[in-house]
Amino acid sequence: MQIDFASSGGFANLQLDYRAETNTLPEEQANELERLVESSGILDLEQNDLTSEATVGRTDVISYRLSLSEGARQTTLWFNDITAPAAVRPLLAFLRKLALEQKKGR
Amino acid sequence: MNPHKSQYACFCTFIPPHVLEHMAKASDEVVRDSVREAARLSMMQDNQIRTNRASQVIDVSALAGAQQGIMAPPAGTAGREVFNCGHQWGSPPPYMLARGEGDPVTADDAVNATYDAGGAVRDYYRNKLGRNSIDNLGLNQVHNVHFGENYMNAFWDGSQMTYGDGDGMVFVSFTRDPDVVAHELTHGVTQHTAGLIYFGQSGALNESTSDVFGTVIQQSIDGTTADDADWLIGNDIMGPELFGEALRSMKAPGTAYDNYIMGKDPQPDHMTRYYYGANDNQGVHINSGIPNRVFYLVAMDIGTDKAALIWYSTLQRLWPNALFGDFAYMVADSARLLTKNKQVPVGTTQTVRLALREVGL
Repeated sequence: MQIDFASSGGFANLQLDYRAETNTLPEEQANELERLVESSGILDLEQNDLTSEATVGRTDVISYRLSLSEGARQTTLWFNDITAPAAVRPLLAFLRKLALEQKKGR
Repeated sequence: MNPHKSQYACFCTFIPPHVLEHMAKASDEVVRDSVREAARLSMMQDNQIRTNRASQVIDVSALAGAQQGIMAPPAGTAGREVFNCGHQWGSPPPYMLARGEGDPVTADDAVNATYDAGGAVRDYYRNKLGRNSIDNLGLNQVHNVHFGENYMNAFWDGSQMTYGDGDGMVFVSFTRDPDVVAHELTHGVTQHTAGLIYFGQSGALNESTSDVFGTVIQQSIDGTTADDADWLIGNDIMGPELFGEALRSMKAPGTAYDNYIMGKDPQPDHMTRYYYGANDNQGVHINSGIPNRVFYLVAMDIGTDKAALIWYSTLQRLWPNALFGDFAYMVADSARLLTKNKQVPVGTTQTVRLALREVGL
């Protein structure tokens, strides 16, 4: 599975990005990512499924972009801390953690 | 009434043409969703708001009364309600009330810190500025702490605050720094006054207002003055890996941090270094450095509380799509009116203009 993730904004305005092909990751990391993708149901989500009610007028929320590609299945979605479904948030948090670890490793 | 039910619809207002142009260019950024929504809402703008606010005469006598403790704010409880999210990600949050107004200290530091900071914010607005809570009608403060796992943020969602605990390494709990709590609550005050759109220059003014009252209330809590304050935002939420750094410096925008995790602080301290990119809602946390420095310069001259009075007056006269130029005019004019009413020293109008000139406004 190919992953392309970016986040920005929030009180700290921390800019993070992360790209990976799960086949090249350590097994434990790859398994956790695939588990979170599965439990989030993100591959079945479409942008229109997400509420846009709260995208303006809310302050200090983090914005996220996430692209996933696996075989013929491909999706790109935009979220923020309010519009992201609760089931997707653990995946977003894990991707931010991986992005931070990648930065520390540079 | 369910305190977790949002009572306020988001405000729909005008986005100026140059912003729309940048919004179109931003279509492939992380912010795409909010950009599209902002563009859609901009079609619903009403320029009458601008006209009305510009001609509004501020009630400096009311402010004078507030300073002397004469003016009684409207009735309302303005109570604090701190909820424990229990590290859940759910929304809307069916969380447990951990501490309500008047409840005793709990064993949870985040709950107590938020409760105390919320009280300091409420007291400052009431005692120094004559404002009865976020909406000036005694709205209760709803704080949600321990949100998610290692969540590194705090935000205002239009009716309540949410705080994460950080990862313990880069950031610690966002409840640990009272200026974070004051910053988020002030977003609510801005929503109920100027209603500054969270995008571009109006968004940077929105962010700056929160930084201003964040540091003002921090100084009030610490008992410091403009001369001995650190003028840093977020320095107390830095974890061990970034200890000594801060998120923003009002004294010297652009110097708050420089490290391998966050990169280099991008805040400009002058209009010649203005950020025109699309990230961060077109730089709301970046270009806020410019008006932040104006406040610092004025506070250093006349004192933090008097400068705060000018900024609070200005906030009540601005409108949702106000630009930096509008702010510059209004803040100088508010200083003039408050000088006329003997609320700030003679010469303050010129101090404000000089500060504006120093940042290129």
